[in-house]
Amino acid sequence: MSQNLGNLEETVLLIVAVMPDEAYGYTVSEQYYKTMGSRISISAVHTVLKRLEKKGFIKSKMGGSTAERGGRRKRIFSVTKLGLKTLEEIQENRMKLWNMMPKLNFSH
Amino acid sequence: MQNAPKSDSPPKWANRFLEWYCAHHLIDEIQGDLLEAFYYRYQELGMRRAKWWFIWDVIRFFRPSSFGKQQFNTNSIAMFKNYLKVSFRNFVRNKVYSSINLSGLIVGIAACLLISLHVIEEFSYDNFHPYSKDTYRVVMDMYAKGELRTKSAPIYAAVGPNLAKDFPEIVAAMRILPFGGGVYSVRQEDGSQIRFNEEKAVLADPNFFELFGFKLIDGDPKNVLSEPRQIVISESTAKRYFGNKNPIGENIVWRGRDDTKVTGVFEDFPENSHMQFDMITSLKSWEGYDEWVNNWGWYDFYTFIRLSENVDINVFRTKISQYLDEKKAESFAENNIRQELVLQPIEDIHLYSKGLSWEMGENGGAENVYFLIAIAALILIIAWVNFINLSTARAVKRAKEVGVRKVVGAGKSQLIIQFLAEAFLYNFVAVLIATGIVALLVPVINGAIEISLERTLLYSNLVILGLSLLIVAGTAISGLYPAFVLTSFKPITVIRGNLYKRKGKLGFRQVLVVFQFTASITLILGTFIVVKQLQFMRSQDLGFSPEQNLVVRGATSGSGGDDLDQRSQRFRNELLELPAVLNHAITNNIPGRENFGISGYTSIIFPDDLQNLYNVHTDDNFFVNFDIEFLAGRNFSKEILTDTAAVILNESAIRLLGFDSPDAALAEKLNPNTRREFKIIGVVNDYHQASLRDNLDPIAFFYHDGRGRFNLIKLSTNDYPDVVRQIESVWDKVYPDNPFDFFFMDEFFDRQYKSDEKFNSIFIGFAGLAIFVACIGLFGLVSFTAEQSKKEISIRKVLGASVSKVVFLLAKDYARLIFIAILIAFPLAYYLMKQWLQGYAYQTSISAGVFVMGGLLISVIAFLTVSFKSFNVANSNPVNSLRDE
Repeated sequence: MSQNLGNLEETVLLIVAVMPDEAYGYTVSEQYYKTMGSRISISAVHTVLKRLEKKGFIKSKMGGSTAERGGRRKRIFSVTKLGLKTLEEIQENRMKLWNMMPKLNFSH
Repeated sequence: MQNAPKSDSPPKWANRFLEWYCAHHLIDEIQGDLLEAFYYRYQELGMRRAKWWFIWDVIRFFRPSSFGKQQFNTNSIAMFKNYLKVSFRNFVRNKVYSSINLSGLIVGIAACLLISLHVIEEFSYDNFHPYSKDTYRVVMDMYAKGELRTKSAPIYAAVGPNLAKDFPEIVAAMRILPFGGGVYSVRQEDGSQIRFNEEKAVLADPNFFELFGFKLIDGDPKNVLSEPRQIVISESTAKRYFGNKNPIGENIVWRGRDDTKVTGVFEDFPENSHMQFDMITSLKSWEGYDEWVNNWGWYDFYTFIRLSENVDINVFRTKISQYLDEKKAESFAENNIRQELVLQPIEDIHLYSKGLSWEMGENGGAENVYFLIAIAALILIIAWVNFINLSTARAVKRAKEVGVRKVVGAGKSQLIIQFLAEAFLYNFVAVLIATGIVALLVPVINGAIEISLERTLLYSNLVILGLSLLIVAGTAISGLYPAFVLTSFKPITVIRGNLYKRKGKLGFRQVLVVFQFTASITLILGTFIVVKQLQFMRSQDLGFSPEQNLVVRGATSGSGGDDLDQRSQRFRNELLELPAVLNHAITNNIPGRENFGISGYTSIIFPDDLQNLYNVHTDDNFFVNFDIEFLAGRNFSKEILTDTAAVILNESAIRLLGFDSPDAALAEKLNPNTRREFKIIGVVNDYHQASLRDNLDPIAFFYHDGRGRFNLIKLSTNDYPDVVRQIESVWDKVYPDNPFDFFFMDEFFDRQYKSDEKFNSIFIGFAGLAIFVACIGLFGLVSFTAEQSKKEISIRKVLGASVSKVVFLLAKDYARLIFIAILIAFPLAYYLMKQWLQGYAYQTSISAGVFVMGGLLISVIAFLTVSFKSFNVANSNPVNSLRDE
């Protein structure tokens, strides 16, 4: 499963997972900037979210609107079971690798 | 485009654009996110950056996924992609032809743009005044014996105020008197003086700044000029005299006598005005101001009026033209003359003042502007013709593509769209590159010739609109014909066999080549004549010798007339002691400077008709300094006291007065039996008072031995810097209160040809461009023909044809076309240049030599272009092009 997930997709999926009920285009792009330190455009975020939804890792529903949005509603994303499982799988695989890391390198 | 949205909202146009392209079911999330992002970024990063982010995001979202699938036919997108791809591949595959096509277009459009910048500037003169459409200058047509003699820009002092009184249609009238020149000085705190000789200084009525759109930086437009002894100066002039001090309320002394107070400072006049003043003094400062209201004899006043908005201008023109008939009835009847007032829109003054005498400064000419427009259009058309020619010539290669597309099922309209898209692409790219080139070139051109192009105009709405139209027109003109030609091929003939035939009748392509070369030859001939005319004017005998004459502007600052007269005498005496000074003359006018002094005179032959002669007040040394030849009689003499009532006339003057020969005029009188009677003591040869553009002036010379407007100093040496230094030290001794202001007579006279020179360099430059574009087109065409007939040539060579025979074979077709072009161009050029030369009083001949040279030149250029490629092909090994069959 996990080989279907690109680097950016994985990060965005993680961001959606840590922001329950608050993940939509703008907040995801802001969160990305805050944690990763570089910017990606909102249009790129939209593309990634759409792709993730198509793959079934996340699902979406329309949320409320605010004045800042000029009265436009949000499309709020949340992680599906499949998405969560995939993330866990990736993490597990990584931890395996981390545990195999020779300790010597860290002693200095 | 400058957008001014509310301070806290994103750019409106970007938002609208987003709403326009975004699919309905996606607008919530996309626009919402962008607006929210804008909202927070605005607080965090500020307005500017938030806006740029917003625009960038809107552009990033502009992609098919945002459009919503149901509205968009992806097949046509794919086809467009294919068209672009094929265009690009074609470009790359035929680099030579494509770059010829493109570079021709670029050069053509760049030339067009450059000329447009200049033309826009020329047409913008004086359009910035409020009500400029209702503002007119009143000028005067002067008739004698029912014949139009002179058109005068300035008119009588009394006309302005009286017109305003008599016609309710006139909202305001304003007069300018161009006699503010002379020395202006300002006393410094340490007792020294700052002084300059000012030329661009005038006197004007109080409402100057209300009528015109010139901006006052300091001072109230209503009363800066309302009282005597008030002066308004330009910003740069204020800097010159006062540095950074506030000039308001300061004192400036005019001519060492008149104190004036600075009441205002105006922004330096924009370049696109026919008026260019540094200083404006209130008209009331001029002596005897109160009496002018009824002065109908002195016409030195430029008079402007503003009409109320709903006046029928034609009716008003008729009314005003008869105005002087009543006011000057007596004078008209007595002298058999008539004068008509004429209205000239202020926006027309710069371009349409030809033939008007005594203008404020040199104006532009509408003819030159139209000429340039024509050349620009010509270059562009030649470039488009290149495109048409090369595209249709390449049809053979493209025909296979077309054939395959048709077989696969492309309709004719689709193919036409494809080729139009290709033409559009070329034109679009050419416009972009040309605009970039022009932006880079403008500073270079501004430095090279005395012309000021405004680069910012490139971003003006007018130019952007023009360029868009150009792209559309270019696409249509250069794309339609090839599109129809290319799409009309039948697939079966195209795919099966060769379309190409080298020999043919005079087809469309040939006609176009003839047109291109007709234009090129006409331009070459035109260039020759334009250059020849300037050389001719420069090489003509002027009737006087300007060489080695130094001119020093006369002193104007002194305690009074007597003082200046005495000092003038002293200056002369001390000057003549210098070994390098041969002679010294005093005069109120010099050649190359328009003479404002003109009066009517009678003679024994025309006792009742006034003949207009220009007045020059000078002394005997004037004729010596300039080597002016006496045809009869003698020079003035200091010893003969009656010479103050004597006059010397030139040849044109005696002819005008009715005398048959110089000797017949001698001992006769000017103004016989009147109080202003002068004895004719000498007749001199005509000399050119103005450039050879104008006719010879009839001149009456009167004896004047005192101070003068100009000191004319004849030098015996060519070591100018040293002599000038010596003369300056004499000047400073005699005139410590006047600046030393000098120039050389020959340079001054030559200055009149500046505008001719400018026109020449522009003309030559663009003619060269046109020929270049035509030649690269021809080159492309020839290369193509040569390429196509490779096999034919190879076979001929195998069978024994020589290289020269083959070259001749290829060149023959084009030689015929060039010959036809020459036949058309010769009479055309002759006619056009004859028209152009009408603007000059002294015209060079349009000799056969010019035509021979022009014809030879174009033949050589064309032959080189053709043979370059032909030799290449003719020299190639026949095996290379024959082995693959």
